[in-house]
Amino acid sequence: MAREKRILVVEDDDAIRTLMFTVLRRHGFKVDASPNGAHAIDRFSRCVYSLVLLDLMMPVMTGYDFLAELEKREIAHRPLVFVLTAGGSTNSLPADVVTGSFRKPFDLDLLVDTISACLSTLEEPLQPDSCPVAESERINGRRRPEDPK
Amino acid sequence: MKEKPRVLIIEDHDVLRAMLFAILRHQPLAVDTAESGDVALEKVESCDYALILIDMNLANDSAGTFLSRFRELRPEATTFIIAVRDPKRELALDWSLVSAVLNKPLEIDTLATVVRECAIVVPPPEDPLDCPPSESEVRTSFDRTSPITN
Repeated sequence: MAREKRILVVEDDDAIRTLMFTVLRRHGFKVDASPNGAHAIDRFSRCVYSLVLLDLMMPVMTGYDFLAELEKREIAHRPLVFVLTAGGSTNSLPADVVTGSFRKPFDLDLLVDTISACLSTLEEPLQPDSCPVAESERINGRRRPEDPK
Repeated sequence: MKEKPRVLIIEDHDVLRAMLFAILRHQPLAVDTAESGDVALEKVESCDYALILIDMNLANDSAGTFLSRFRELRPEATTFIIAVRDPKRELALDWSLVSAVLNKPLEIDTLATVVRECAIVVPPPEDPLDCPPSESEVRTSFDRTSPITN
């Protein structure tokens, strides 16, 4: 078991998911990616995530459904969640689950700096044995994150 | 050279304070932070702030106390005060003490734009206090992880 702060990018758009994953990986963050909420929930059953970047409109399981799942957890066991939005208000989202939102198109410097600042204040959680090495540590750059194997 | 408008963030939650600082230092602003209403009162006694961003859900209702004391201490101040609140939590707010309210969860881009635009239009004080350099000038980064090259 290792102590590690890990980020999960949950986004169904391949290009945006790959962009987020790549930018964060290149800044040295440990990152996994999921194409929908159901896949993200499965990730959560194996690893502890400190921060989630979440799209709201996704197939299979939406970001709203994913937030509802997180809301069932105790506050201490919830990750920081930043919602990625193409427009529309996010004021109806639960403030005790969602830390903030970024509007597309993203200011990547601002996004990375905000994530970095938030993570710097958090303890490194103990990752369970069931948690595989982060995708960002394994990827060779030729395959999109969470493409079908 | 014209000085950057000075902004004070009052937030007792470490993560949110770090987040707000990171967002606002991307703007043409001089940014300070305070982890409580008491610390904020010390800062407003020694610096002129164009804008104060305050979490209204500070522990022990210290946000309300800060706002009242600030008006007593600096009645002449033209400071623009933005209150940040969770709309789902009850809040007894004295509206005369704040200029605007932003609801959580915060839209990062909106927050950055609103704070920048509001801070810029606040006129500088005629007789400014001799204030030390801001945190955003002193602190260059927040423990940022080194980039990797592969």
